[in-house]
Amino acid sequence: MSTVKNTIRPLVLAFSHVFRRVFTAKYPYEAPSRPSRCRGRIMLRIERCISCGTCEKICPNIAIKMVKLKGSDKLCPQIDFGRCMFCYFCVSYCPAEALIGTELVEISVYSKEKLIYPPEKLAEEPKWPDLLPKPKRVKLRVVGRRGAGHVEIGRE
Amino acid sequence: MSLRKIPGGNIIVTSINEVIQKIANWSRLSSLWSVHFETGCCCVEIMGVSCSRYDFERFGTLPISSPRQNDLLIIEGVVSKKMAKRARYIYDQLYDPKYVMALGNCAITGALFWDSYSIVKGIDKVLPVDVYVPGCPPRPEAIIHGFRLLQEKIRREGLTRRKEKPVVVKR
Amino acid sequence: MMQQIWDLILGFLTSKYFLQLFFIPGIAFIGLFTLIVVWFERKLLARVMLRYGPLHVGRVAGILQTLADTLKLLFKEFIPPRKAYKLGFYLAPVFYASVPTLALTAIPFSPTWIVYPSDVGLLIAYAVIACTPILPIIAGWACNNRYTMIGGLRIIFQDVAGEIPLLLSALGVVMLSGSFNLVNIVNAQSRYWFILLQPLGALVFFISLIAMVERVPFDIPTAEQELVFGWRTEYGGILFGLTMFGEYISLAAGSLLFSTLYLGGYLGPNPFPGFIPSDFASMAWILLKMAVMVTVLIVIRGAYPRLRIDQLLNLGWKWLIPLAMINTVLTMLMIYFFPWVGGA
Repeated sequence: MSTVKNTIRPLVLAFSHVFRRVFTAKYPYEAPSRPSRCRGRIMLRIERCISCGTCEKICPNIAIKMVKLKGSDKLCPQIDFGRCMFCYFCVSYCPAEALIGTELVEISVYSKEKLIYPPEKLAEEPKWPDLLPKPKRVKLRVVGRRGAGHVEIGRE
Repeated sequence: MSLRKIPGGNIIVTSINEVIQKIANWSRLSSLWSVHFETGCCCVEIMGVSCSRYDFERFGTLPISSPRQNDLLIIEGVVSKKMAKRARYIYDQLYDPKYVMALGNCAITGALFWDSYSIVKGIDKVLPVDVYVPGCPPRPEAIIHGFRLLQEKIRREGLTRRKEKPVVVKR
Repeated sequence: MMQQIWDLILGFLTSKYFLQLFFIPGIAFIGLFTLIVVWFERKLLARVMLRYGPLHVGRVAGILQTLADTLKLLFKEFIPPRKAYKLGFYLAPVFYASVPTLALTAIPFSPTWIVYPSDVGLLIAYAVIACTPILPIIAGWACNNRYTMIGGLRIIFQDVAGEIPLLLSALGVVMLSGSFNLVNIVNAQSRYWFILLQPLGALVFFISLIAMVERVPFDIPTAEQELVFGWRTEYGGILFGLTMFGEYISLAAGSLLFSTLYLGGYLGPNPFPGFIPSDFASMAWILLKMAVMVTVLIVIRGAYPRLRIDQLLNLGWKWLIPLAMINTVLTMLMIYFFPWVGGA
C-alpha cells in the first residue's frame, strides 16, 4: 500500500507545482537585490590614494601593480580582474580608504587584455552595461499558498 | 541585413545570402546548447544560474551531455596540464559552429594558482575562447551578462566561422 | 480545356487523399505537433520546477524556441565517426523518424477519416511499433561506439519486456468489442469508455506504453547520466533532430492509440451539429484526448526518477505480464456473466 502511495505522491506534487507562483526573476529585465556582502569590481578614488603600495604587497594573486597615472608621476594601483579573486584584502588594508568595493559584477569581455583596469578606468563609477536593458529592481517576497516570488520594489 | 534601394525605382534589393546569414545567426544565438567542463567550484554557479531563481533556459539553452549535439563549451574552473588535453579533445568533438566561454578567473588566467607548476595559466592557451566571464566564482548575473555578450558576438558573425589556427597541446 | 485542368487540380487539392497526406494525420499535423509539443514540454517541465522555461526567443513565451532549435540543427554540421558504417549511420535516423508515422495511418480520426481502413488496424499499429526498435540497434552498431551499442542493446531488453504486456492488455479491449478493427473498437465505447470497464488493463497498457516510447521513467536507452546520450551519442546536426522527431512522433502515435482503445477515441458530443461538420468535431475530440495524454506523460517525466534496467525487467516480466493475464481472465468472466457490457 505504501508503494502505491509513494508512487502517486510525486505525481500530485508535480501537478500542484504547475499552479504555483513562478520563482524566477527575469534577470536582465528585473534585477533582484544583491546581498549586502556582494563583492563586485573594485573602485579607486584617485584623490584619496597616497601611493603607499600596500595593496600591491598584500594581494595574494599578484593582480595589483602600481603604475604611473597618465600625465603625472603619482603611482596608483592597476588591477587585473582576470587574476583578482575578490578577497577584498586591498580594500580592507587600504590606509586611506582609496579602494572601495562595489556591487557591479557584469564585467565580462571578449578579450583578456580588457580585464586589466588601469587607474583611470578603475576610478570610473560602476555603470550598468550598455548591452543589458535597464532593469526593474525586484526583491524576494514570500506569500501565502501560491509560494514565493519576486515583486518589484515599491509595488508590494 | 542591408537593404539597398535602387535609385529611381521602388524595388528594394537584398542578397539572399544575407537573409540566410541573418536567419542562421538568429537560430544559433537563440538555442545555444551547452556542455560543461566542470573542474572547479564555478560549476556550482552554473547550477545556480540554471535553477529556478535565474533560469538559464529562458534564453534557449539546454544542457545536453554529448558534445556532438552542443554548441557552447563552458570551461568552469581550474584546468591542470593533464586536463587541458582532455578539454581540447572535448572541444574537437564539438561540431561546428562551436563557441567557448571561459568561466571564472582560474579558467581565464589561473588566478589563485599563479605560481603552480601544474596549472594551465589561462585556457586560451589551449582553446580559442569567445567570451571571458571574470569572478571568483562569477555571480549568476555575471554569467548571464557574459552569455548576452556571446549572443551579441554571434549576431554580428558571418555565415561561416573564422579560420582558427590549430593549437598544439604541450605534453 | 483549362477549365478541366483547373477542376482536376481543385478536385485533387480537396480530395481526401491529399488532405490526409498534407493535413491530418499528414505532414502538417506531425510537423506542428513536434514543434508545439517540444515547446510545451519544456514550458511544463519548467513550471514543475517553478521556472519559466524558454521565454525570450520569439517575444511571447518563447513560442519560437523549437523553430530556432530546428533551424540551428539544420545549419550545423554532422560527421560520421571514422570507423562507422556510413550507410547505417545516415539511414537509421531517417527511418527512425519516418517509420512511426506509419502507425498514424491505422488510427481513425473519425468514422470515415482513416488513411488505411482495415479489419486488423490494431495489429497494424502494433506491427509498426514493433518495427521501430530495430533502427536504434542498427544506429548503435553502425556508430562503432561503446555507449551507442549499449544503448541499442538496452532497447532490445526494454522492448521485449514492454511489448508483451502491451499486446496482452489490449486483448481485453478486443474481447469486449469483438473486433481488431479500430473503428469498431471506438464505436463499441459509445456507452462506456473502456477505461471504466478495464482499469487494470488500461494501467498495464499505459505503463508499457511509456516503456515503448522510451520516456522518463523508462528512458533507459538514452540514460544521460550513465550512457552519454545512449544510442544518439554520435549524432549531431539534423540527424540528431530526426532522432528526436521520431521520438515525438511515436509519442503522438502512442497517445492516439491509448485514447482510441480506452478513452473513446473520436467519440464526443458535437456542440453545433448543423454548423460544424461531424468529421471536424471527431478530429477535435481525439486531438483533445491526445493532448491530455501528452500532458500526463510530460508531468510524469517531471515527477519520477529513472528506473534501472533490471528494475524495468522485473516490473515487466513479474508484474505487468501476470497483471495483463489476470485482466484477460477477468474480462472473460465479465463477458460470461454480464454479456451486455461489450459492444459485440
